[in-house]
Amino acid sequence: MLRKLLTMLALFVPGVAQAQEDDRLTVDVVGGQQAAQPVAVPQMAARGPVTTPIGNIDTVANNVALVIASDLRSTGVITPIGPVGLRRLRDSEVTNPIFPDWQRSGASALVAGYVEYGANGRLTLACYLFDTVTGRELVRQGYAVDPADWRRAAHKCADTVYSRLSGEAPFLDTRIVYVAETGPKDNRVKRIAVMDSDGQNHRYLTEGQETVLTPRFSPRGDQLVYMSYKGRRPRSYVYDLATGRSRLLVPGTAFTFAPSYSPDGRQIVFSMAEGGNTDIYVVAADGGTPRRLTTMPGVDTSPSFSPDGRRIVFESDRSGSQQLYVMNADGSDQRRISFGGGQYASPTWSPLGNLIAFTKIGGGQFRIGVMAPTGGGERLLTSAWQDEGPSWAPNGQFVMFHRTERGSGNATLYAVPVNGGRARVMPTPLGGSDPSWSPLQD
Amino acid sequence: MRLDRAEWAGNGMALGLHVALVAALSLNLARHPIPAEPPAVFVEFVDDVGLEAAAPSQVPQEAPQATTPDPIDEAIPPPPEPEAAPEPPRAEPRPTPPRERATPAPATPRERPRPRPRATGRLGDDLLAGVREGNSRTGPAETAAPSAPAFSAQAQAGIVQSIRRQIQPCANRQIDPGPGANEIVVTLNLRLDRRGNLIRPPRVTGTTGVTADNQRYEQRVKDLAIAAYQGCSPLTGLPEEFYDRWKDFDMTYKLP
Repeated sequence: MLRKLLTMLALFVPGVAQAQEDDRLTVDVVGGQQAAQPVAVPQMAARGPVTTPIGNIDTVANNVALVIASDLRSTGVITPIGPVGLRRLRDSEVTNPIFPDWQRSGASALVAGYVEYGANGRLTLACYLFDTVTGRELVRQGYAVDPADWRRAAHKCADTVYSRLSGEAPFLDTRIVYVAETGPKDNRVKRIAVMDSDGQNHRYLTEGQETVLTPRFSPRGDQLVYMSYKGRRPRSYVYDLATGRSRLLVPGTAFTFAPSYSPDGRQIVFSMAEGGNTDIYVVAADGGTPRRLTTMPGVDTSPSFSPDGRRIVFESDRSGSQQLYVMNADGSDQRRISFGGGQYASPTWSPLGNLIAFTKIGGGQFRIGVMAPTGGGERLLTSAWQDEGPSWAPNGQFVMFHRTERGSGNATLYAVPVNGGRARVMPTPLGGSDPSWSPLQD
Repeated sequence: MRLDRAEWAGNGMALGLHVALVAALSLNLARHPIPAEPPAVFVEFVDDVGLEAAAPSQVPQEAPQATTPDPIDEAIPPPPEPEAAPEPPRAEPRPTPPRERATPAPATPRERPRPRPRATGRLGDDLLAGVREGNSRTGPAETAAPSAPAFSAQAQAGIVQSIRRQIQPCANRQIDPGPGANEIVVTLNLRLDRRGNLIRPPRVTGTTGVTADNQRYEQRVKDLAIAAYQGCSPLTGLPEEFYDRWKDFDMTYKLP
């Protein structure tokens, strides 16, 4: 009897639940805005010994928050609030914030955490992100670093916050290599320099005796390729960041320029001038015999691999003016993709594969733009007098380039959001050109 | 042993009442959620980070659903790269950290929904008063059966409008994370007590419009949907006589 009863109930109860589900009210809500998200970044809590190799722990906690806030502001999609003007985070709030306090600051999210100098000599940064409205913890990460690397821990935390709030891949813990320029316009000294993406930890890699151009990071970030006029011949070199040594990309006297790596780092594609013609070649990154990919009369240069390594975009004047072309990685199926009027140069393929950035020359201006790999959807991102040399952030959301002032010829690095927005200056100690963004650091 | 009529009647009544009792208890259990469980921490960090209790939520916590856990980050940045610079830096990077610009004055406090029924907006409190009376064509509410008030289309529309009107200000505050995010539609299931408070955290029950191009925004739009609801809850002014109809409802959210 009881069995039958339970069976009947088992049939009956789901039926009720189903009926309720079918009748459930549904409310459709549409809302939102285009704006930067306000995020509170108070001074982190401090734990452990007061004295650390890099100063007072409270100072470190404040500096970490300053770097995080600066990084977040540079994304353009987040407006940091603090740490200046905000009360410091109490230690008890690291995992249990008093949300009304932070809501009152106008922030919809809160970066909380602490900094601790441990007995093992490591500095730990705990990084938490909360939604101040719902009280939900959105993400947490922790980093243990050598105290001297405290900035990297802060960049990692900022990357975590940016990535969680924007949905985009991180890009802040990266480096930038570029050509540092000093001196008058007609006698400029050009050196390769490398720095963190926020302009810190800046150092020069070449001495400036020879003009250098177009440095490019390897996909692992451990090497560079660049062109130098060393020996008064434009030739490409491979530079090892760990040893500081460089070698010729292609031994010999041939002019080689505009080198860049394949996505797997095993090949380097470049231009070589031989017999009055400039064509695109590819060579193994560790050396070997170059293989020719183009043969048309004219100058074929500025090659850049697609992120899947199957295609290459380059510029060529084979039609009578500089235009963009795409070909398979073996040189087959070469097709022109730029038809918008004017000239197109220095193409570079987005790490996401969906866009190609380029320099458009026309109307007395050099402007940075993007288009689909098939050639459609051209959009110009800048409109200054002379913007050129685009390079993608590793998350494909920003394009860095250099802007040259009319008259003085001084060049400055800028980065512009690919989805629209104002270009911002990338801080460098001196003038800079030909930037290249590193991959995200491990 | 033979039972007489009175005994048959008594046993039958007892059996019937037991059946009713079991059914009532079963339905009651089916309607109420399992009591909240303490939040689970999925992410491990460097040893001394993140082992403490998570922040309390403003609604009862439930164990997270079996979704993709947050990334585990054990990465410890490597020691400084011994890059050999051929030349000592001529320009030292400034040792001081980047200076913050003056922090903008705190914006006006986030507009919060009033905890009590509001009389603002185009739709006044009398909207639901009319609904409570049921369909006017059927006469005043007093004439309806007091235990089962008529839930007309008008009543349903009134409740939907009231909920939307209360949530809309918070929906409008959500930030669009990027192009294509507005194609994502998130469905939340919400369960309320009679005072309009959540009795469990909003639960994402569906997502549509996700493509390869906007997939990276899916989690964020889910966050925004939850924030849009919770930022303007608890709901107020909903007709208590129709509690059974709004105690468990769905809200879809999308960016404009």
